[in-house]
Amino acid sequence: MGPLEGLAYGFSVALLPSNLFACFVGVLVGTIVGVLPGIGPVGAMALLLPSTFAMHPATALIMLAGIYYGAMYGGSTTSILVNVPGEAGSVVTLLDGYQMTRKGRAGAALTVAAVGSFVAGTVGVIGIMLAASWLADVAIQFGPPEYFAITLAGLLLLSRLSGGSILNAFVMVALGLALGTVGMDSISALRRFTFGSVQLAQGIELVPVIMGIYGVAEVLLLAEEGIAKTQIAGVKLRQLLPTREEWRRSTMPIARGSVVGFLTGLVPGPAAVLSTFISYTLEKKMSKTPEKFGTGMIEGVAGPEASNNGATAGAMVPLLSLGIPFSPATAILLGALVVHGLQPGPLMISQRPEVSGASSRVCTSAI
Amino acid sequence: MLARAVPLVLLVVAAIYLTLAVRLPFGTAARPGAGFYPVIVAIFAVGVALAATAGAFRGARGAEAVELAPDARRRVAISVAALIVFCLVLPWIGYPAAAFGFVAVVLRYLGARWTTALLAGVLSSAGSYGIFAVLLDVPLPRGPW
Repeated sequence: MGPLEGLAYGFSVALLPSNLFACFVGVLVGTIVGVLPGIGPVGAMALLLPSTFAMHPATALIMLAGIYYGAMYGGSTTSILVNVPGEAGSVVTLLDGYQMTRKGRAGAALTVAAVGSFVAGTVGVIGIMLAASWLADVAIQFGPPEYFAITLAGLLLLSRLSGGSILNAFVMVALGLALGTVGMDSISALRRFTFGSVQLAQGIELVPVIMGIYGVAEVLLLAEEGIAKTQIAGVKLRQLLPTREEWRRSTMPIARGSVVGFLTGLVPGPAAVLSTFISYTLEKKMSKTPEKFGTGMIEGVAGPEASNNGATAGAMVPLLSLGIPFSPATAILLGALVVHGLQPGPLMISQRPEVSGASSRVCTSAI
Repeated sequence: MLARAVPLVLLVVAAIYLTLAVRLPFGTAARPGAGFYPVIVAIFAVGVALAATAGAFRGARGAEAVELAPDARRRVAISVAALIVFCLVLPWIGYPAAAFGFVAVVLRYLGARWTTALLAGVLSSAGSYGIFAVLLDVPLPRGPW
């Protein structure tokens, strides 16, 4: 079956009414769960995985992909609306997304995020079809030196993101690295910095750190300003749509973010997170007004939101072509495939999960 | 004052981290022990914290901190105190009671009326407990009752 026939077959499966309904339910539930603080896409999929056991494999996969994308979007929603990212991939989104909310452009930010994600997901599917096996071969040759270089590049990009003093950013990088060493050493299984606590032996997870840094900080900011001053202007329905100018400014960031995300997604590691950093930095560098980033620039929402979805699609390449999950979310998808008796690998050109991913974006946009 | 205190505190934290890290088995470059990576991180941390502290005391650019108005400072202090109390009493009185108390007290001090604060406390603690503990089976402490 050629790529085009495969795609057509994938669409014919995905567009069955029962599958569309499963997609809709998945996206709806995923978005609701994703909005809850501390439960990201992985948590949402893990929680709802058992509910798909009784379904047809394709329907189950479509619903899981829907949950995944829905939860990602839910995470971005809280990032934009209340300055608390639902998961790590949407941390960067809050830099400009929340500022847009304060200017009354929340609807535009949410719409651009959804459209950007959809475009990136579609670009990703095309990328998977055209280059899956070849790209997977390249990605699998990565060894420790390459991982180290990627991690280092990520940290350097991160320190350029904050916009403030580089020295302060490096202090925070050091603090983050130090927090990462708490818990069991992965080589010798020695407990580091746990002070006898059993909970700390498992290390400090990302969710408490995100909640502490963004959630608590937001509460304290609210405390500083007092309740009366934090009224956000009411929004009319028409203002929910981005203006023509905003569309124009979002187009290129979405295109670049899609490509950046897809390429980053091929590489093992926290690709969705890294890709958002890369995309944001890229947009800042490309922009004629880089100093305005962080004050509600729509480019700062469009690029990263496209890239984290592109990364998700990219991460499907090693999963589908090699059967190797590079991220927790794809690991759960792999688990779901195996539960349903499917063997991921070179033979599994079931375009269904990606097509469902694309169609689930349509559902999300519709909600 | 605050602009100097923050890097200083971070410097102290980094120094404590370094002293703890060197106690772990270091190993060699070929066979790194549990302390190998932490020591490298700690040296980096102490270095950058030292530079940041020096910059703050010289009054370098980007080191200035936002000074808060007295009543804003009081509200932030009360919120932080309430958060600490919340964490301390959570294992003893359980999540529903602690969340109710936290929300009610903080909202009251942020300027809400007593009735609003109490109502918000009941709704948010019952709502979040219902979603997380009942629907999603997250193990939250219930308390003695």
